Amino acid sequence: MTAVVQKLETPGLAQQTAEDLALARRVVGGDESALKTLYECHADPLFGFICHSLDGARQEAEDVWQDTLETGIRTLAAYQGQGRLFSWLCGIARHRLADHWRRQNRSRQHLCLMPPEDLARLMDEGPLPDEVLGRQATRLRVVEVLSQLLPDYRTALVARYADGHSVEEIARLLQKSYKATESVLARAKEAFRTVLAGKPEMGL
Amino acid sequence: MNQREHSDEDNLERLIQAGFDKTARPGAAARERAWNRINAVWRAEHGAKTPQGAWAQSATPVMCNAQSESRNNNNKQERYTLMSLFLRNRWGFGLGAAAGAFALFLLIALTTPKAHATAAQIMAKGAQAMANLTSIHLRGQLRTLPADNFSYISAEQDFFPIEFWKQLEPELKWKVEKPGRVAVMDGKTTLLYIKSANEAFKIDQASASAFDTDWLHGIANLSHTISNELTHAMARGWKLELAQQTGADGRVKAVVTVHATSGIPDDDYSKNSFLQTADTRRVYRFDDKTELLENVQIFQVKSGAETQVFELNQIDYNQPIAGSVWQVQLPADVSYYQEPQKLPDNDRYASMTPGQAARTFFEACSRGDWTEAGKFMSPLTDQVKGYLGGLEIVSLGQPFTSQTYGGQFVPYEIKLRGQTGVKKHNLALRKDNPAGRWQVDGGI
Repeated sequence: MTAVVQKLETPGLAQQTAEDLALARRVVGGDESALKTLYECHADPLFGFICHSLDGARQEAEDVWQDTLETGIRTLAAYQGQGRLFSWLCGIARHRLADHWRRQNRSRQHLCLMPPEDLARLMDEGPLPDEVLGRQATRLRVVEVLSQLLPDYRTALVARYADGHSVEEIARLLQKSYKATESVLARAKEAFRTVLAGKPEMGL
Repeated sequence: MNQREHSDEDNLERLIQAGFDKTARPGAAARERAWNRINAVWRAEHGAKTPQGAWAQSATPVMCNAQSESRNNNNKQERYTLMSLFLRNRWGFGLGAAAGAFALFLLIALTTPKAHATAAQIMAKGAQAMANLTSIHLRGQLRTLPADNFSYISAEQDFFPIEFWKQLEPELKWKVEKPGRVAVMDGKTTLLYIKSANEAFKIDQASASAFDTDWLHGIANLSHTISNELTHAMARGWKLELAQQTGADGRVKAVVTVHATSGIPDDDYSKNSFLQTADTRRVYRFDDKTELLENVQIFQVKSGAETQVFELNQIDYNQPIAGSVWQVQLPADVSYYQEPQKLPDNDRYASMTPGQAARTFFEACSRGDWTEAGKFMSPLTDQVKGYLGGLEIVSLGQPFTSQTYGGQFVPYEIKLRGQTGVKKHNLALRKDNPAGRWQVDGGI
């Protein structure tokens, strides 16, 4: 069952990239529903990426986020499927962050990255240490993983684990039955672990 | 759950909290503001084309040239206004330059791709002018029934005031009010109160729009909806017009008129009952200098005749909204809507046809069995009990549907207690609820 879920719910990188490219082309081609999809899928994780990069400075993050989104939309035709669309947007965000730090006369922050497989391995070993959870790299990795999940999966996981909603409340949010929501949550957890253990594309 | 599963669940919770708790997500107001901005950018960069790209080839270069021109103009310290855009492109339509000199009112029917592109630019400029909005307050009037849905219209009714407040900073809040009902989202909960019925519907979370208020949010959210008008116009073949007018204040206005058809057949029950189901002519007036929307009029078009059903005559931008606006005082005896839950004998009700449900409901009202009637309607207020108690069923007709409604309508004729006449109407029923039972949704 796990293998089937993995195959169905977390398609390979090439397929994901092809889907990203198709979405970007639809946006550039004038399809507003595609623009909405892009925004719904990537805007929140992109904010998380920027916010964590700025150590939680929300106001600054909002400015950089809006600049990044605008630049991303303006230059979307340049995205040619050379990686995941979210990674491409993070690339723009990194430039905007560099501009931001330059304006603030701050040197670019250096991050201590932990190999992602370690995070997955640590999860298997027992409770994650607070020190690991407090790392910027961990927070960025979580954002990256969430960005790669289906929107319903991300919504369900965030509503359940970050916002503490009950399954009934999530069912209403997703407009699904209780049973179907339980199923979505189970598959979302599986997908999260699968992506977490995979090779990351993002990094600073 | 064993120790390993517990640890897994706990780790997942702590990881997601660390990476994606609320501090790492944009607030609702920021999300809306960002969406407005990128939508405006997208309009300008990639245009609003039909899915088929019917005018893509001609529209995109026009847009790009205009932006390039805009940048050049900025260098020359010239303002690049809606009207300058309009006037510059006017020559492209083949009109003589002299015409503009004496025309106080100039109307251009948009039939060419280039003209469509011009309309897109005007709307995009109007939308960009709204990008830094922190609050908006709309005041208008609608031909409607005071307590009916917010989008309900009727050409036979009088005008009633309708008011809309929306705050985007520091927290998203909104409120819509007409004489018989009010909806408010105070940043934490979303509430609808129907005054005449003393009924309330409460959602324990913030929402961007709810309770049939979409169309007002649409007008307030110009960068999205005004440009949507153009997209729909392109896709559905609606006629668009651009006009230049001198307003009562002596200032030049750019007027965009959209002739919208709902696509709903004339014989559909819901046709012309709501703004979304009526064929309409919508007129948007923008001030040339400020580039802000100043006025909206909506006319219902029926059998070749027009009736004005909506006028938006006051728009306040970025004015502080008093905290009291978000507070609605409910009477102590207000009845709250309860979502139907599964009953021990739920299958019996879930398997009913709409006709059977209507009959069971009315028969329960007839004998005053409010437990049974309550399985079909919430809240069952004393007012409803007093109105329907002791009724006599005259006839029930064949259920029918409407293109725009997710339930069914059951025609009925009843005699109300103490009244001699026969009440004839259509009971609206829907069963898209967790219990899967038909619920009375209107038509009483």
